[in-house]
Amino acid sequence: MHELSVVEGIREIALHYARSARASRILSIRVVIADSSSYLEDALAMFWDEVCGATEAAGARFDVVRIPEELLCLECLMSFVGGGNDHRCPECGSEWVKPIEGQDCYVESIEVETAGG
Amino acid sequence: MTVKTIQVSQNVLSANREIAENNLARLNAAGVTALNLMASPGAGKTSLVERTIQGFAGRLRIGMINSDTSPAAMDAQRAEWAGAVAIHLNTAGRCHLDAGMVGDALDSLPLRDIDLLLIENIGNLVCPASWQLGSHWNVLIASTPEGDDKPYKYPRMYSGVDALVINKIDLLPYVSFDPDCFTRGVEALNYGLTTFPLSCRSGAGLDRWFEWIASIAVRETAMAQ
Repeated sequence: MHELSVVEGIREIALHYARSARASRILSIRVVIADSSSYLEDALAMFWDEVCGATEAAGARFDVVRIPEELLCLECLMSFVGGGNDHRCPECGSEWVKPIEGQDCYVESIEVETAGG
Repeated sequence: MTVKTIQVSQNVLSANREIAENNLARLNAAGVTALNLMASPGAGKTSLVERTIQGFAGRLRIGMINSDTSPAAMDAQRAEWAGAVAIHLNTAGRCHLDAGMVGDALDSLPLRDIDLLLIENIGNLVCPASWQLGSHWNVLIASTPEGDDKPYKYPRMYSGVDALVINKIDLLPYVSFDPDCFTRGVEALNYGLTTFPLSCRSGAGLDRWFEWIASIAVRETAMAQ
């Protein structure tokens, strides 16, 4: 359920940038989420429609870009990009790994409509 | 009408981080040391809070922010009975506290009359790890019945905390918990982590926990002055 808090954060960022650019409407938003994050894409999209209500972001398309997580092998200390559900170290085969990057969830860009030329 | 793309590249938790920094500044100004207590449900957060309040009766003025996903305020009540100023936060289903909720709670607490603030987060080993609250110390309370594999299953939580309590050590003979396996996992994620094996039920190990609390409470208060 923490997706609600995340989406509220995303909305605030989008509105801040849109208002700074004197945009009348946000048409779409592009959000980058690491595979290792615990955020569910469907839940984010569902809450997005709900929290945007009567703001400039109402009706904006919600695009999610997934990036792979980077893992560290705790046996041989090699770092590697994780793929799918197999998180074993490609070097030594250990399953003892932890995510070292990709916790991030950030707003990459917004597409807006402005009155001016 | 013109359509244009604006590059943003801003982390979604940046706003929370700013509020957390503000919370920390408020706590420092009032000379309050704050602990963010995180754990799975049933690990013994409230028991440790109770023991701590009782252990420092007459020595430290303790405030508590208790959170639950429902209006059930029995944990805050237990803290009040034990002698603390307690506030109950109902997160209405949300799985973690965020800095804004804690900031609102700080508005309602007599910060000048508190030395130590215990923030009892929602019982959950995933979400609370991502949201900083503005506390001085992030503390994880593990417990032996949970099993020794938890550091491996919840690496983000174990790697992000500043101190670790292992509660219910009195149950070691009865549960499947290999301390070596557990410690190996913790050390790999958070080398040298300050750890307190203890039992809220028997009282074993609580003296070291109390010593640590006393040392950090004094230190933070001194730094604030």
